[in-house]
Amino acid sequence: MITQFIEWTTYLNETNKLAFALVTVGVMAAVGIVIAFIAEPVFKVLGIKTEKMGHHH
Amino acid sequence: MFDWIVHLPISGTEINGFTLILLGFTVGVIGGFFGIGGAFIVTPALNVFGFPIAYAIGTDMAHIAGSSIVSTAKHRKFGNVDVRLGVLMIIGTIIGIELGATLIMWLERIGRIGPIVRTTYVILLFGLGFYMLYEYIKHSRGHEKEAAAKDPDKSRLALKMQGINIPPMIKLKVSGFSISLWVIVGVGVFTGFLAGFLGVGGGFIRMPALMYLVGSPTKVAVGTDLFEVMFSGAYGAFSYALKGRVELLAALIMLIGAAVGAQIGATATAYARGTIIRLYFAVTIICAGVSVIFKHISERNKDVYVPALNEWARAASGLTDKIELSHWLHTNKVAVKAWLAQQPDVIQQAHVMEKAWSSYSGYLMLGSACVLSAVIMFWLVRGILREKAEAKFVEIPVSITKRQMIIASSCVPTDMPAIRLGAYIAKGIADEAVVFTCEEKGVCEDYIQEGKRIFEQYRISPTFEFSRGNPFREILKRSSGAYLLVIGSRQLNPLEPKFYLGDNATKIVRRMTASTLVVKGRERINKILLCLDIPYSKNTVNMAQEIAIVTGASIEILYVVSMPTLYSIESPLLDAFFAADFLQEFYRKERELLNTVRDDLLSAGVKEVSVKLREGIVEEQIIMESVEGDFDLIVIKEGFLKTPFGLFLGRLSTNVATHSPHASVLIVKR
Repeated sequence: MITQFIEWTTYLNETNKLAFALVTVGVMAAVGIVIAFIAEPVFKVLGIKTEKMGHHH
Repeated sequence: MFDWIVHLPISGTEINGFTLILLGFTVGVIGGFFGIGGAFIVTPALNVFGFPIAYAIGTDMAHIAGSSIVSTAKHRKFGNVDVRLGVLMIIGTIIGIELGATLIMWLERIGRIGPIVRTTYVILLFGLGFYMLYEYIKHSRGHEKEAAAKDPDKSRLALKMQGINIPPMIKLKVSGFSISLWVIVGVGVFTGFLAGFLGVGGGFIRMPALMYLVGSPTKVAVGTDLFEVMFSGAYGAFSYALKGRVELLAALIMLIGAAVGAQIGATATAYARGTIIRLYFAVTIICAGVSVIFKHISERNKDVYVPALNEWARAASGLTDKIELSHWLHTNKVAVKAWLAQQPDVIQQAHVMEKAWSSYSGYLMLGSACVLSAVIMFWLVRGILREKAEAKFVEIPVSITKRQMIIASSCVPTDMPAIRLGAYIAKGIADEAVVFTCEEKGVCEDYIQEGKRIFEQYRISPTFEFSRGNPFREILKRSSGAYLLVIGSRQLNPLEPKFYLGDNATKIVRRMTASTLVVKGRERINKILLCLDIPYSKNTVNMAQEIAIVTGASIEILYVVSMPTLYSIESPLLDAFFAADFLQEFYRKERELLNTVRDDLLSAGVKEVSVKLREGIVEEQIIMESVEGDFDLIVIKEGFLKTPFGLFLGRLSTNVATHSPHASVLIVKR
C-alpha cells in the first residue's frame, strides 16, 4: 500500500504539481498530528512530564 | 541489518533508510529543544548523503512541516506557546521576508550576492552564538546564585521594548506582560528580513529575538518560535513541492525519527533551565557558523570549475534552467567524472577540494547535532529519574485534615530557638504542633520537658514524635503534607551573631516537601521582610500576613528588579530612541501592583505595611535589606523549577536561607 502511494505521488509530481504540493503538505501534517496524538499516552505511561509548567523571568 | 537502502523515485537517488530516520530523530530532538526547524543541519547533511541541494532543501522543509506540528503540540501542552504573539510575529515575518528577498534581488543585479550573504550569515551566527555564550558565562560566574534561581530572561532591551507605549497594547497572557503591537510586528519584520535575506527558515534568529527583544521567557520563546516554524515549514514544503523538489518518501522516513525526537526535545525543556537551553543553543549556532565557513571555502573552489562544467553540461544536455541542469549533473555522474578526467589539474583539484570542504561542513553539522541531541537526551533521562526519586518523598500518605506544624529538632540546646519561635507563631497558623526528633525517646527527657514548658506559655499541647534513621529523609517524610516545617540553624562561633545551616538542614531546604521556616537566632518577630516577584505568589503573601497578625509585626514588601546582562550595555542611540523615562514607567507599574498587595494586607489587619523596590542581584539585595532594616523574618517563595541543575547549584530561597546572618527565613511552598 505504501509502495502504491509513493508511486502515485511520484506520478502526481510529474503530472500535477499543485496536487502534489497539496498532498505533500497534507500528508506531512496528518502524520505529524497522528504521531503527536499517539505519543501523549505513551509519555503518560512512561511517567514523563506532560502537564503545564511555570515560566519565570 | 542496517542495510536498508531506499530508492527515492523523484530525485533518482538512493540512501540508507536508517540514516534518514537517525537524521530526522537527531534534528527532531534539537528542534523540539531549541524551537527551530533545523534546516541548517538537515540541508547540508542530506547534501552530504548525496541529495541534490534543491531536493535537500525541499525534503527538509516537508519533514519540518510534520515534525514542527509534533513539537508545537507538545510545547502547547506545557503552556509554552503564546499563540497571540506567534500570529503577530508571522505577520511581521512575512513582510520582513519580502523585504529581505527584495534586497537579495537588488544584490543579485549588482552581482555581489554570494559573499555578502555568506559574510552576514557568519557574522550573525558567531555574533549571536558568542553573545549568548558570554551571557551564560557571565551569569554562571558573576550571578551564579541568582542564575540558579532565576531565569534571567528579561534583558534591558526587552524592558525598553516593553516600555514603548504606542497603542494598541497587546496583553500576552502566556508570556506574562503587555507590549505594543508595533513592537511585535517590528521584531517580526526584523527577523523575517534576516531570514529572507539569508534564505533560511529563521527559527534560530526568531528564538533569541523573542527572548532578548520581546522579553518572552526562554521556554515560551522556544514554543512560540516552533508555532511559527509550523507555518513557515508548511509554506516552504508547499512551495518546493510545487517546483517538484520534495522527495516525499525521504521526508516521511525522516518524519518517523523526527516525530519521536521532537517529543523528546520538547519534553526535555521541562527539565532544563532557560540558561542551559541558551548555552546549548549558543554552541549549536557557533558550530553552524564554522560549518558555513567550511561551506564558503567549498564554494570558492566551486567557482574555479563550475562555469566550465555548466557550459559543458548545457551543451551536452541541451538544458538551460539552473535547477534542471543541476539535476542532470547529479544523475549523470559518470559523464561528469569522464569530463573532469580530461580537465587540467587546477580544475580537478578544485573539484576535489570543493567536495572535501562541503563534506566537512555537512559532517560537522551532523556530528554536532548528534552530540547535542545525546546531551539533551541525557538531561531528560536524568531529570525524569530525579523527579521520580523526589516523588518518593512526596507520595507518602499523610493526613492533612488539620494544619500541622512540624518542628524538627535533635534534642540539643541549640535547637531551642526553633521550638520557641515555633511555639510563638503556632497559635495563629497551625491547628496542631508536632516536635519531631530523630533520637531515641529516652535520651531526650529534659528536652521534652523544656519543650512542653515553652508551649504551655501559649496554651498549646504539642505532640512529641521520635524516629530512627537518616534525619534528612525522616524529616522530609514526616513534613510531607504538613503546613509548616520549622528547623533550626547553628551558631558556630558564640562571639559572632551569625547562624549557619547544618548539612541536614541544607538538604531539607533544598528538597523541602512543605513550607519551611529556618530559624536563626531571634525568638520574636517584630519586622517581616516579604520578598515578592511579579507575578507574586499569593501563598507567600498569605503566610506573611498570618504571621504578622499573630505576632503584631510590621511588613515591608520588597521587590528586587534583577538587572540582567544587557543592562550593562549602554547605548546613547538606544537611549535616545526609547522613551527616557521607560524605567520610571516600569517601576511605577510594578509599585502600583505592590501597593495593591500592601492595601490588602492592611485591610486584613496587619498593623503597618510599606513597599520598597531595589535593583541588583536579588539574593544580595534581600540580605542587605534584611540587615540594614534589622528584620527578624524574611518570607520568600520557594525558588524555582525542580531541575537537576537547580537541585545542585542551589536556588534563590535556599541561598537566602543559608546566607541570612540573623533574620529567620520562611520559604513558602508554591
